[in-house]
Amino acid sequence: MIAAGQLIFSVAIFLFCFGALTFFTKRSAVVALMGIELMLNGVNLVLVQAGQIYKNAEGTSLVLFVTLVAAAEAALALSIFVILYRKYGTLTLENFRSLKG
Amino acid sequence: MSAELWSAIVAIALGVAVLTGVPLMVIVERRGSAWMQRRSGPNRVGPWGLMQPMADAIKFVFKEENVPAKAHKILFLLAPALAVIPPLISFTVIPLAGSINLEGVEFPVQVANMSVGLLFLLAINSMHVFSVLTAGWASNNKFSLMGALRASSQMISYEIAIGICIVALVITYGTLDLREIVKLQEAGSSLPAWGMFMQPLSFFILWVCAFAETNRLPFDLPEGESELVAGYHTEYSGMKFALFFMGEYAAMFVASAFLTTLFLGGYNVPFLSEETIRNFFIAKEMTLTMASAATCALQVVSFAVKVLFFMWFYVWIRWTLPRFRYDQLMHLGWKVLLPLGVLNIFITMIVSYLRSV
Amino acid sequence: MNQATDLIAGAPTVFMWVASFFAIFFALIVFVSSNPISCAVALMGTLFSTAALYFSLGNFFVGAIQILVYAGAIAVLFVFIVMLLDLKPQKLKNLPGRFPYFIFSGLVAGLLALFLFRTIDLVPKGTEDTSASLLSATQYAQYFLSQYQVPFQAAGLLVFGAILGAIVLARGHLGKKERS
Repeated sequence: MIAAGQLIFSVAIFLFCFGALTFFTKRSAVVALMGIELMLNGVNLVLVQAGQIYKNAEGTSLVLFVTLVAAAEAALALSIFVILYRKYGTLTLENFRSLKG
Repeated sequence: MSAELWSAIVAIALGVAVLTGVPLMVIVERRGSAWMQRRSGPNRVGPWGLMQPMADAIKFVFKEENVPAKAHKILFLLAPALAVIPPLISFTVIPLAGSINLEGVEFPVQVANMSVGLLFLLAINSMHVFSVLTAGWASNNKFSLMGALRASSQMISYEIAIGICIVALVITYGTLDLREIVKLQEAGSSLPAWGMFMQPLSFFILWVCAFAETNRLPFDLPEGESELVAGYHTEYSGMKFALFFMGEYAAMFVASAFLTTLFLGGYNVPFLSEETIRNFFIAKEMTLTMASAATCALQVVSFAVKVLFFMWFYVWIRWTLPRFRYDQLMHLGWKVLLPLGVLNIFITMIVSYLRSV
Repeated sequence: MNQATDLIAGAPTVFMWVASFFAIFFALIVFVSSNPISCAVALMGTLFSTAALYFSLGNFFVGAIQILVYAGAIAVLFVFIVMLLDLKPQKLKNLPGRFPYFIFSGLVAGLLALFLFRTIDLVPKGTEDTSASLLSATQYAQYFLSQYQVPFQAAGLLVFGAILGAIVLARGHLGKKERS
């Protein structure tokens, strides 16, 4: 039978992979950002579980920092998306190809 | 009697109490507002109109519920549920009474005590915004959307002031555990050792924010009856509207319980500590179980009186003050309460440093 | 707190199973749905389920922080933006050529699983408890002010910079007349 730690690691891996897939395959920028948040959540889960396995508090401390950075980054990214939407009228990622080689 | 069984019993009792408190608040609001406006409220349905909420409930159940044509069906159904769930979750960490002694084991009268109870309350408080947003969006109605955006920005702004006041409170009490906070407010000699005497500015700010968080007058622009039809619950009828109603009153109960626990001594009877009351009952030759049960009953009554005081105040203020305009509301939240909160933190830091020296 | 090995190498509780199921279910909805508002609400569901997983591990502090920051602020911000910009469900099909991404994700998932599952065997058999990893808020505070002082201050600076950035971005689109 499956152990609790394996279950939680599996959930974390699922979250990470679904986040990565969302980020790479969605057309809308906002949904891609949601993928990033999912990835960060998967990482947080791994950190907390690893902290429990190694029996020290570093896991939780790192989780707090990751959460903080995720919050700041989501806020700023969404502000930038609002400005992009105002300027270009669309958030579909295919239209933003001017930097492509 | 295991701890889980006791928690389940307390949880069920609490759920029943809150969900019967809502009809009670309906009748108190209508009769109270009528009394303040020199008219008589509903007094035909049952003695003194006490069956009026029952009549309202029956009316809500039988009303036709129509879903607007291009509404997002799942979110439309989800929003009223999301309005009721966070307040009920918040009640799990609020201590209702001291411990009861069953078969030699002390059971705290609380559903689940967390060592970070205050943080948990703050966290669940931030979920109230979500039901408002979902309701406004799912109704596919411009007025609802406007009401929802206004309500959510109002709630988010006042949450910041709440967070700042909680920082000052944590400095004063030194713990995030709600049970510890209530125990620290026990007894007292000339004044009860309540939080409102230790942190008056915090009390005032949190009280104002409690009004803003529950969208009650004078901050009820999102539901402004004369302004936005009915704001974010325009399109809701029947039982869904009743759920929003219940959610609003349940949120008021949570806010009142929150203020009581932090500032009014929680379940403590003023000037008497739990030991004193228990010894009083033991001196009357009761068993320990009965004495602790009687103590808890007294403390629950004390808690209920304080919560009802705050609820009455909600009703009183609603029918006394006019409504804030949106920019005045934002000005109050960001430019008045936030600097006051930061000032409060400075004063608290200085005072607690001087006391520890 | 001596259910230590139960929380890591023992069988998962029913609560853990339910929370895990919902976390994966909502993450699937985020990936599959074409309506941005459904994605946002499902993201909220995932965040809540993850918080439930933290609570089931006994780590109430991180769970409360998760609900406070992620579910209560970030997810609300996402819903707000979707409503503000009125993002419509995307009508066109997704980009072709997505299949390599699935393969790659599968490989990454397999590798991660291989590494992570082995760490579970590192838990010594016996009754050591995990309370060393579940500190109280006071102890975390002391930790942050002593051992993690530098990251703590850096995070403070980061948030300050983010606030400044948000203000600049918000004022940037005002016309020259409105800037005061």
